[in-house]
Amino acid sequence: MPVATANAPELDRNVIAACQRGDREAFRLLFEKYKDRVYSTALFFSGNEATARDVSQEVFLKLFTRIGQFRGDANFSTWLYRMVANACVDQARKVRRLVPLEPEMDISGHVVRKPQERNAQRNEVSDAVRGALDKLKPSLRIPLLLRYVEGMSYHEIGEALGCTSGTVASRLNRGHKILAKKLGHLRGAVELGV
Amino acid sequence: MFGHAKHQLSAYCHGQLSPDESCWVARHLRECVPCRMEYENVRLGVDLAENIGVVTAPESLWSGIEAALDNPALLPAPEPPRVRPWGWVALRPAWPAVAAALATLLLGLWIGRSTTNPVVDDYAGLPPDGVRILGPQPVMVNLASYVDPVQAAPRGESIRAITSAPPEFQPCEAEKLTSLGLARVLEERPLPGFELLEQRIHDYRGQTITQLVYSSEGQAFSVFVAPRAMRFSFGDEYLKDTTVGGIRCRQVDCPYQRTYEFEGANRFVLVSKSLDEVRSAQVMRYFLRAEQDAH
Repeated sequence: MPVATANAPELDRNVIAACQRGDREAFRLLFEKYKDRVYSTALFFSGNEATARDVSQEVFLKLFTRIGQFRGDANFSTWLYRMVANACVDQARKVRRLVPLEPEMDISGHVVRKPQERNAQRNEVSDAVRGALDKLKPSLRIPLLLRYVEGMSYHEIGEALGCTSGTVASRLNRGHKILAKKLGHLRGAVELGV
Repeated sequence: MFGHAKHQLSAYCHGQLSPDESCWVARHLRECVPCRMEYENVRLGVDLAENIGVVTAPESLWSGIEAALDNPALLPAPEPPRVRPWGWVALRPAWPAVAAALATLLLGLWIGRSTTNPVVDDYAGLPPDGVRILGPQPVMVNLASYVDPVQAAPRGESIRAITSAPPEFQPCEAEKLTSLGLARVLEERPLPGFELLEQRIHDYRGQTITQLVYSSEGQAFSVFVAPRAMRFSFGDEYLKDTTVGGIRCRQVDCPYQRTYEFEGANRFVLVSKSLDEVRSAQVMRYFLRAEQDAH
């Protein structure tokens, strides 16, 4: 199944138009393009694989039913990641009121996508950062994930979250400082670029 | 640009500042030791966060989606397109059934919230600026567009943000304050050295929200007064229960501002950049006593 490349906006527009006509194959293309980043955001936000799967499925099903509302005058990924952010926060609210039946799964051993990341020290840093993310408030966690998983600009993050770029900058600032405070012991590993 | 660079450091690391702002920050970091130390922390945070990475979604993800696509009963119901309100215009559902369903859902969410942490934390719900009628629920006032610039302003620049008017607020005459039972604020000062600089109101559906702006040399604070039935929110900021000088209130959970919501017979919000707890409590105590005396 061919996957749309990230630098093919023309392909995206055609694929979106086909999805709006109900083309299942086109929807599969969109899914293949965005599935890893959507799932990663949901996983690092919730810290739970089952929750991440549920949230990801919910997002793509909403995308399928609402793609007819996408007018093309906005950035598609911003529109999509607004759905991701809302789904993550909604899920967090539900979980707050439920007693977990099983212990949370440890995501630190999850497969890392990049084949070159075999170095144990880099995995240690990634695992530590993802663990620290879990301790952040949702309002600080989401902008970090949209920036570092989705690669969005401050303006795009603001559009997705319905806030100003200034608020995004403020939250990222706070998030970065908390990460630095919690994981200062990894300064050496990070400075070595491992 | 004035003041320190602490609020711009992440944006600076990410190249999200304009060329002028970027040059200013770079120059400032060469001259200011505290900001340079702050930059080291933010820079470490950025370097750490760049290791978050992306993971591979499980193969089974598509099969779950495909099963739902093959069974329309499992698909989420499509939403009607959102109407984005402008300024203080309320969101008015076109159909009574949608309005009733929304009111029921919001009532359920409101009841289900923890009583120890009544936080307004809805990313998807509130309009950026504005007042929304929630069916039988209180009218909700979102002060995000007023409070965000206060949060972002360097300390020396915050007075401009605090003394500004939120959207739709207009200056009012002293007589209006008298008719609202706030006559004594015209003659008294909640804090020594602070004068009443501006008084503004916004009338919405028979409810009046008042903004009183006080300033002293280089400092300012703003107090919003509304009927108790109205509720305030601050965009995506959380509120945490706290006690300040013995007064139970809720504080916006942000280290770059001091914003407290407290209530007596009315609902109040105190916004400042750096008023300490002692003086914040003094202001709150003044307004609570003033309304008691008025009643």
